[in-house]
Amino acid sequence: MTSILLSLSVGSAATLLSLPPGIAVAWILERTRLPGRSLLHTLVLLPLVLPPVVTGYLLLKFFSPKGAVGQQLASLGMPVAFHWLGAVVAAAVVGFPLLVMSVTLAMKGVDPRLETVSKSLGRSGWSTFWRVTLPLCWPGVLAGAVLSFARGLGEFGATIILAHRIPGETETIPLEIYAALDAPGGEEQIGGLVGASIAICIACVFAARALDSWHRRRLELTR
Amino acid sequence: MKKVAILALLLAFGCRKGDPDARPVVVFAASSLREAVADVAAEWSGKTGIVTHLRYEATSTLARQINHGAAADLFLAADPEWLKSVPTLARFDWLTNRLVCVVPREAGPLDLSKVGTLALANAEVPAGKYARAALERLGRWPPRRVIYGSNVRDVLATVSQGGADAAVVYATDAAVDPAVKVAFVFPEESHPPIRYAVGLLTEHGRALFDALNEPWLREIAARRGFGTPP
Repeated sequence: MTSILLSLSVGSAATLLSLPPGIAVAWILERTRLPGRSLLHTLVLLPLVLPPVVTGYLLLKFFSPKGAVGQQLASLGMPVAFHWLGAVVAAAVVGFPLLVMSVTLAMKGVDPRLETVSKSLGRSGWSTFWRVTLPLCWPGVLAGAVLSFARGLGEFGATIILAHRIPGETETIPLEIYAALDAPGGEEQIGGLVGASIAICIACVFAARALDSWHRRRLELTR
Repeated sequence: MKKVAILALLLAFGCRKGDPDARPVVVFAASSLREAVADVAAEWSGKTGIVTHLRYEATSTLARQINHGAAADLFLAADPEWLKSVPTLARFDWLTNRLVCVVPREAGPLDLSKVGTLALANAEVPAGKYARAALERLGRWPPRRVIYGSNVRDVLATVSQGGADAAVVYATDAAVDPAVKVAFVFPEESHPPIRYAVGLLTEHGRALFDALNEPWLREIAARRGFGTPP
């Protein structure tokens, strides 16, 4: 039960953490002609295909308690490696590509002429983004958030490397299942966890699809 | 052309089947035995010309894999209890070890009552079982914050990576990692005796099984810091 609540808290924190940069990156990829966009796109997609253990290893190297970044964060009271925040960072990084892909698609659906109209009526680019683009694509953004939340919920490889298994702190559902499988009689205890994982993920995928089709229907009205 | 290819395939696989000794001896060994078993296997293979295939993991993990049908000829377990959970043809006690508490090399003196984060092996892993028994005996259970590792080498790495203030591992593990030092050795009576036991799983492993019981191979393993049972 602890690990289910912990998974939900880690997944939620990871999604909240990745939403602002996710929307920003999607906007850069979709609405700007910034040089180096294809490199950025490749980097963003990388955690989707990179072995999660490699992602975890690179994160551990970056946030290592023995490194400069890790020591700085620890002195600020925000240690990442071997702590709760590490599980959050791991979940955020692996879920990030799904978020960016969904948001990019959602923005692609918004008619750029509406933004042009807004700007021609005197709104700044920033204001147009907040008052026109984002309101028009927010169900799509939410769909991406739900998908990245579901992906983060199941994160194992990067989490075990960066955060390790600390009961009540970083021991999310997959880590508890993994540990229980080794224990004698553990297989009988994991039924609830397996069921919870499946139920949460089905709900997430269902919600993401519903949000996405709602997004499409809304855009139809603007055409 | 096709017929020739089929014939060649048949010959290739046929020959393999006809010569069962050419198959390597598959050894599943507890993580803590890594260097010792590598030494022993190299020595034995050099003498006999028989190839070994070594796999290291936590004893509990290996036992589960064997019980799920993983093909192994020998099982070198860090706890005789786990060896009893798998079907063996024969077995004997092989080596002994000591339990120690390690800290980062640059750390000062250790006060067990003030340790913030302690790295331990999972409860069902032999190193974790011994550690818990010893900590309970010393009145230090439960520790304030525990990072669990899936095998004893994983636990050791947690300290060298800076994730824990101390870890409970075997004396032989402490000896292979220059980034840690032994803070203290647990009294032998504080935990069940640490016995490594060898189990014979298939007749194919018989030659190595018998050799492991001979003093010359036992001594090679003992050079890595293991004791020999009385």
